[in-house]
Amino acid sequence: MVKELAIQTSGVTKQFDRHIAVNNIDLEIQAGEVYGLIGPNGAGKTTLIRMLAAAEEPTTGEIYINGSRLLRDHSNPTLKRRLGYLPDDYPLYEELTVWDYLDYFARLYRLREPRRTKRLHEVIELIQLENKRNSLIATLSRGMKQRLSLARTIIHEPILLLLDEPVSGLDPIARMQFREIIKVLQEAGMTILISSHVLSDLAELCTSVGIMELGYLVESSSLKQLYQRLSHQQIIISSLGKKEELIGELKNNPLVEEWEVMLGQNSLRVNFSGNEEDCANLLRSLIQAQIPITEFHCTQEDLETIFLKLGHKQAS
Amino acid sequence: MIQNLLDKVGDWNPQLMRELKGRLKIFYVAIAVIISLVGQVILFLYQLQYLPGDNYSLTGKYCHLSQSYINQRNVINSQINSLRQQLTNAPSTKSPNPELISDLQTKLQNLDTQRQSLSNFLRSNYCPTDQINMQMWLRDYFENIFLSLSVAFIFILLVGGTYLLINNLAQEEKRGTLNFIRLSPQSENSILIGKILGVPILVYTAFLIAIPLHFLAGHLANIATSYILIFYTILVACCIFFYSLALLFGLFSSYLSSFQPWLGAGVMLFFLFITMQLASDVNHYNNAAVWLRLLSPFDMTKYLFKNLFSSYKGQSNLGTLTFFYLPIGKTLFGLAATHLLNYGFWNYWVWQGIKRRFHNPNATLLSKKNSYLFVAGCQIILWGFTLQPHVDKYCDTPYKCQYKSYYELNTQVSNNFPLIILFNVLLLFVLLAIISPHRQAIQDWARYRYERFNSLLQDVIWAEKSPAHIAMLINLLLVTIPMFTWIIIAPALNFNGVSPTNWWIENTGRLRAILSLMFLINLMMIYSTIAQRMLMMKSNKRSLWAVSTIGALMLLPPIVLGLLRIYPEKYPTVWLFSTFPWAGLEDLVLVSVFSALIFEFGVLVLLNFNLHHQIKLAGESASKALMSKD
Repeated sequence: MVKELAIQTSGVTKQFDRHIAVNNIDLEIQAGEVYGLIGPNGAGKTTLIRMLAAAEEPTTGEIYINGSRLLRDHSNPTLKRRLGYLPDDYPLYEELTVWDYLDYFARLYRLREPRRTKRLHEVIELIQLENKRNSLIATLSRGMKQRLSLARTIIHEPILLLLDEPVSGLDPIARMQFREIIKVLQEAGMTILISSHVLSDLAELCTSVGIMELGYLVESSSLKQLYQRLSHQQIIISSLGKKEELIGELKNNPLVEEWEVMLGQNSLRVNFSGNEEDCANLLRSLIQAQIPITEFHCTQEDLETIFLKLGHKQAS
Repeated sequence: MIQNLLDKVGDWNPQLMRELKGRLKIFYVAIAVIISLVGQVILFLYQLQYLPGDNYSLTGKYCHLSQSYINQRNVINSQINSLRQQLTNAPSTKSPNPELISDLQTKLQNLDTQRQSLSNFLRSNYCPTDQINMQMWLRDYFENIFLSLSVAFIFILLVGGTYLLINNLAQEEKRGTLNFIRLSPQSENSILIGKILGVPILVYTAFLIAIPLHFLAGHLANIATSYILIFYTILVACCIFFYSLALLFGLFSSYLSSFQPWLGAGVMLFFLFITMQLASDVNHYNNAAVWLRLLSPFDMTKYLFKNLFSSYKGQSNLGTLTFFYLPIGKTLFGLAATHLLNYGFWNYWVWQGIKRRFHNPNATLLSKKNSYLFVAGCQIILWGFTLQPHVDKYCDTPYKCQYKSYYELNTQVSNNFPLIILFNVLLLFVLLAIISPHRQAIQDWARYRYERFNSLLQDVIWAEKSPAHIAMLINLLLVTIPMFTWIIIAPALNFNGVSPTNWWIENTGRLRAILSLMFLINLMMIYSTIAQRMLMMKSNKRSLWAVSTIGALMLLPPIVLGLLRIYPEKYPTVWLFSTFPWAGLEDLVLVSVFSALIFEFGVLVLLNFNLHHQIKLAGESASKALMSKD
């Protein structure tokens, strides 16, 4: 059965003066997906997300959220209650406490008691700020503020989350914490559109990706399909013996396309076009040739490599 | 308890709760209460210094005996005056009688001595305490407190509230937090009403603390409770209107940043001072400008409380106010309703702008359709207050002048004509700023217009982002149609036949008047086209450029001509091309006037060609522009 579309745009275009920031984009994101948006700076990611959040009006084109048309000028209260938008800059009311801030937004989104207090406890627990609930926002660290912003975005249980560069500027631990929260939200059934500088984060989180360049959506498919189409299988092989012997043996295998000596290690990264059985055969042939193998590890090209392979020079 | 109350408030209006939470801190509230109480005590004590004590003069207002002494003094003074008169006349008679003169001189001396002793007596004796009318003094004392508090309320609520609201909105816009609120499902009404009620809460607190004294003072000064309640109603309506205007100003002018609240509050203060002065000194309400005065609460306050300004002009004439001959000033209820309706009309349009601007900071303040309704509404107000049966004195015939008092419609309209023109020119100038779309909008419209399948005419009259000069033309017609109508039917309205030489009624005079309106239309259209062209500039400061260019075009020519001593009587042709073409119209032959009109029309056509070309260029696709370069 075809799932319902959480986002559907048709011919969405945004023009700033002569510059077309977003060009005739037809985007379809199914409900429940985590969709990663990649593209160089100035590709139009933020503009697209802002239009999807009704923070910007498209020059032309239509946007449908869960089948209903999104318009900026009308207040669309029902539709707005389904959206959660976290922009790349996240201004906060520094003079409020964490609890008061979230309480204010919960009320703006018309959450009533006793649901409101319950929900406040839930999100504060989710973002791990239980011990800071009565602290002033001004006293929080950057990572905490980012999580608080996320909490504000999800306080009204939106079914569609739009996150613009949510982990930029965070340290690795904060990034990991943030990733965990996103996973929980995904499990809760939210559709999430996320743009990020950090492609490894997207690879771990997303089910689909879209690549934007010069305002165009040049690629949009599920991550699985993308890997199948564009990612090569790679094998990392290490041996205690001489590299030349290993290379000599590899040359005999027609499925080995090319190899690369990994710097500072006695290891090779081999591009291999065979399937799992061929991998096993290769390993068997190497062992039979008495090469002292210490590591034989099948892997795939990561998202960053695929991105670069597609001809995009910049991974942000 | 306060927490519970805030919780309830929050369920009704989250924005109000948020504003209150940030402000209702014990320290801030205490300061507001203390300032209010100290103010009241100072006022109380200040007025108390006039308390009549043991040394109260015998001729003082509150002494029961004063009247008899004043009468005595008056009798002596009048006797002295008559004796002096006789003495002056005596030597000039044919046979002066020295005895009579000396007798008169003796009498005069006696009277002088009497006057002197009376003065000495009044100076050395004071009003006995049991003869002091304390009841009357107390009434006046409380009335003074009541009136001082009333004026203080108007100033503090309006100036303080305006400043705080603009400042708050400017800060939210600067921090970017307003965007989140915009994206929430709350309506703009709920958010902004929350702001209006919450942001100036400390000013409200100070005001509420002073209400008991105000009310009590009014009651003790024998002021009817209904009058006090009407004053509060008008004050509240006035605050709602000016606070809404402040919010609109805050949303509209974020580029002024920190200067914004000072400018807003300064303009408010200036407006209040000017209207207070007018209410005190100018007691004439039968003109087209009265709507502006009715936006200030001072005239109504003076009408309600007759001793507000110790003015020699006496009672307020507001009772003579009419609207299209409807005697709205006749009853207090009618006047209060007129006040509220006037606020209602302007407030409605302010909120139209707020609604559009709140959701989309790039939108024009009014849609084209609303601009037509707004301009039509303004004409009804201007003409409604012009057509008042204002009775004046007129010469019967120009040669043998005998003044008679009666109502003359044509004179009433022609007296108000400059006001109508002035307000309408200002209105059109403001309209230029609030309905003309900027570069981006015009580009979007021109580029993607074809996808919407509307006819060009429909688009330029109604569509959101289309250029505004055709809409300006429609608005200009709305403004000038009542004027044209009056000029045409003026002779038929000359019921009294008072002024047969009045040039409005002469055919050539009327033709010139019609021509001057055509000049006005042409000139405003030229300004509108130039403004629209300037708003399509690439510069970020295009609004500033447009406003200053149009301002310069309007003001510079007459100023330069004036400085160069090129007066309209000597060089009328030159003046035809200035902002005030009617200055030159009187002294020119009609052929020159027509040629000038045709010339100006030619300029307008050329400018429109240029604008059309620019819009077409803006609408070209980027690739087409690219290819045409190759």
